[in-house]
Formats: sequence, C-alpha cells, structure tokens
Amino acid sequence: MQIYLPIAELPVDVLLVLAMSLAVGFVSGMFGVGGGFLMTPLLIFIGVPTAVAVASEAPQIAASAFTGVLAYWRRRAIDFKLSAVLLAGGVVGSAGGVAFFNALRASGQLDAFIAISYVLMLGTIGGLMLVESVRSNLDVAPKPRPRRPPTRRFFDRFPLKLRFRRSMIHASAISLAGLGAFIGFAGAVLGVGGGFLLVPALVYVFRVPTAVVVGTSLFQILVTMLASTVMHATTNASVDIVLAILLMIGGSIGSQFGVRVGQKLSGPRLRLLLAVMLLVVAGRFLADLVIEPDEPFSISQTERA
Amino acid sequence: MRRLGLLRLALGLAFVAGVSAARADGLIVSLSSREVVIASNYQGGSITVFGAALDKDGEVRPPGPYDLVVTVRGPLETIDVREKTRVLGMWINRRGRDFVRAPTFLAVLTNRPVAEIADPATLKREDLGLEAAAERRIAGAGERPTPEDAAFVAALRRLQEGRRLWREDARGVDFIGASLFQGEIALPPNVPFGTFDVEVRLMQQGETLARQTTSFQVVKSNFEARVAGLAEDRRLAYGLVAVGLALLLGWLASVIFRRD
Repeated sequence: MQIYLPIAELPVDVLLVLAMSLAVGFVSGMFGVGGGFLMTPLLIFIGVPTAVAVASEAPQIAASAFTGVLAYWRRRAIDFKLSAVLLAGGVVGSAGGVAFFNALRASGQLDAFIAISYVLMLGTIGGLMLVESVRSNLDVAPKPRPRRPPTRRFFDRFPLKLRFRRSMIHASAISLAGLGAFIGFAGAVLGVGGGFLLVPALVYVFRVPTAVVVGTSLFQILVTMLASTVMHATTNASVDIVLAILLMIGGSIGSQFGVRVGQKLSGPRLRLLLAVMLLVVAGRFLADLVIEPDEPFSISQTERA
Repeated sequence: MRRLGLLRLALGLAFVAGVSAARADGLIVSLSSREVVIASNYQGGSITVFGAALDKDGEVRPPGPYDLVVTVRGPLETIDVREKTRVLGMWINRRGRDFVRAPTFLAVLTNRPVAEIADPATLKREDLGLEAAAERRIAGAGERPTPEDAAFVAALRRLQEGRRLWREDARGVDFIGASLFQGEIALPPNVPFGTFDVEVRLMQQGETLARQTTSFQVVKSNFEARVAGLAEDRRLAYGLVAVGLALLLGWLASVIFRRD
C-alpha cells in the first residue's frame, strides 16, 4: 500500500515504513535508546531527502520520549532542576545546530558531515561499550573506582555551582549547560535524540545515580526534540507530518515489545548487543565514506529559479 | 490497445476542433488532460499529446520527410551537481556545477533520434534534446565546454534519467495516417509540482517550420496540497501542530501500554 508523503514529495510503502519503525522501536525499547541513529539512515536509504528525514524524526523521538517521561514522572525519577540547566544549554545548542545544518546543506557537505559524525560517535561509544561489556561478560571486574574523584577535575572548576538534590550532585551550571548545548546541537544536526550521549555523560562524568539519569535524560530529549521540530518547521518547512505519524505509530508499538524482551536479558549481554549494533551502523557509514562510489556524482536542487 | 489509441486520438482531435485548441501556422496541438492531480495513492501517470500538421491553407499536410519534436519542461530550478573525490581517504563532495533554471522534469519525444534531426549547434541553440538542455544551462561555462563541464553535463543527464525525471524517446511520436501524430508523456511517481510547458516543433532538415506551445499543471490533491501549503506558509503553526501530535501520540502510547 503506497502513500504519498506531502513534504518529502515521494510515494512510500506504508507497510515498509511501519515495519522499519516497528523494528527500530523494538530496538529502542530493548536498549532504552531513542533509535534516531537507526531510523534517520534508514529513511535516507529509502529515498527520503536527508533534511526531511532528520526533521521528521524529531517529533517521533519526542513522542517516544514523552511516553517514557510519563512513566518516570509517576515514579518521581526525574530531576527537573538538572533538566532545566541542561535545557538552557540545549535550546541554544539546537538553534545553533539547525543553523549549522542549513549552512552544511547549502555547501553540499551535509551528507559527508553526517556520515563522519555517525562514524566517530557511534564508533567511539560502541567501542567503549563493547570493551566494557566483554569484560563484564567474562566476569573480569574492573578496578573498583572511588565514588567521588579525590581531586577536582577540570570542569569542576567552573563557577556557578548548584546543588541538585534529587540527583545528589553538586556541579557547575556552566559545564552542565555546555553538555546540554552539545546534545542539542548533535540532535538538530544528526536527527538523533542524544540519549546515547547524555546517559553515559551524566553517569560517568557527573556521577548522577542511574535511577534518575534515564528519566532526566528522556525529559531533556523530549524538550530538545520539540524545540528541534519547531525550528526545522520554521526555518526549512521540512517536517513531513504524514511520515512523522507513521514513525510514531510504528515506534511506540515496537518499543513496547522491545521493553519486554529487554527485561529478560542481562545488563552486560544487552550492552554487548547494543555495542555490536552501534559498531555495525558506524561501519556501514564508514564503508560509504571510504569505498569508491559507483556514482561519484550527486544532485541537489536548491531554490526555485 | 491499437483501437484504444485511435479512439483516444479521435477524442483528442474532437477536442482540437473545439474552441480551446491551440493553433498556429502549420500545427495544431492538444493534450489529453490539462491537469494531473497527485493524491496519496499516486504512482505515476501519463498525458497524451495529440496534433496535426497543417499547411498554409489549413489542409492536412501530406506525409513527407518531416520531424516532430515534443519537449515537455517541468518547473525550473537551479540543479547543483557535485562530484565526490578522495580527501584523506574519504569520498567527499568537492567540485560542483550549477545548472541554472534547469527543468526538473524534461521529456523529449521525437520520431527519430534527436541527433539525426538537426546538427549539434542547432540543437543547442534551439534547446532540443537532453544533451543540449544540460549544456545550455551550466553556470559560468564558456562557449565551448571544458572536458570537466562535459563530465558534469553527462552526470546530470545520467542522474536525472535514473530518477526517471528526464527522458529522451526517439520513438515517442507516432505519425498516424497522413499527418496526425500522437505522443505519450510518462509522468513518474516522483514528478515535481507546477506548470509543465509543452512545446511541439515541426521540423524539416533541421529547420523549424512551425512551433506550437501549450501547458498542463501537476497539482497536489486537496489533502497533500493543504499539508504542503501549511508547512510552507504557516510554519510556526505547522511546527506546533507537529509538536502537539507528538505529545498526543506519546501520551496515548503511555495510556494504552501502561503496565504499572
């Protein structure tokens, strides 16, 4: 069954798009990640223009984040104060990201930039997770680390210290807002929620308890992606609402099944699977970058003449 | 099929005879439809060009060594073609050429290969055929294209043909009977929107004897047009609607699948 996407301006198979979003939703539910890093490349692959794919992913990520936020909110596992500081940076980062995205698109380097960023980010995080999960799967315990670092680290020296009661941390508003800005920037440019960047940063760098991290990260993603949606809509008119609805339906159903399967697997095994998947996606982008293309030429249409 | 074609031709000529037929010295032309509506189930379509070659007295011209060139040009845009080259081991867009005011859709239907109808200089001057269309529009190129320009011209043509947006059909125009002709303009699923200009030329030994133009529209159906119109004209409202939908669907999912 074909449906015509009014903004992407091409017909797509409804069942194919639903199947893709179900599968990505399944993965995202299983691992607790947004899935944007999988969905955006898939959409580009079926012919949706990069700009429309990135922009239409934003409301879908927002919808699935909102579902999660409601669940964590009921459990009071969201640190709204921490979120507010992250968001202050996040909104600035998103605006910068959308502007940067448009500049890249105009210069013809958008696809290359997205590919290189995916390789670097997914490769690094996937690699680190792979090492960590292989270690714990082999039951080699890493050296116990002190709960708090003995010395003041670089970013601890920033002023404007705030105390976050629910997260039980005491950190500089500037470094947290900086992190938020980076996530917002990456989200707007790459069409990803940034959960896979934010969660490790909050856990390992700022030492926020894991229980609070996920809810807070989801809340941050929700607001950043809503802002991204509005900004892509106002600057580019590139949000395809029909596509977004299809993605939301498939994604929310898929993630429910993913969550159920994910709960049956052990933590290290789950992380090993996720690491392998991140590395596969990174590898795919790397291959596109370094292997000589069959068709070195490409077309882009700019302003109406 | 053949009978159906003739029936359509007859219908077309009946239309030609009507008041709205476009007429000029030597050529009358009409289209099977003036509007193509793209709805959510659109998977491509076609429009038939009908016509007849006439001589000065308005009589149907006897069949002779004439050529017909039907050129259909979709909305014009600047098309940017880029070439990937190796930089630090990676294939990245480096060089590029702009093709200014190039038709996003271009179909050239003829009764024999364009190259046999006129010489390359005429083709380029008169904008006939895909090669000429690409060469004419390259930005900042001199009279004689460099080999690099030629590579981009070939690439534009190849890529647009691959997307089924450009097409040259050396058997696209059929003469039927004495001087009646018809041709089929195939519109792919990814056809752009807007006004499509149809130019029909009656040619002999590379000279244009008669030229006639008409046009048709490709429009989005109500729903698609409204969505695209809103996205373009009421950007903030559209963005907020997308946000509202995301929240609504997210909330719905949490209600439907709530397990705690």
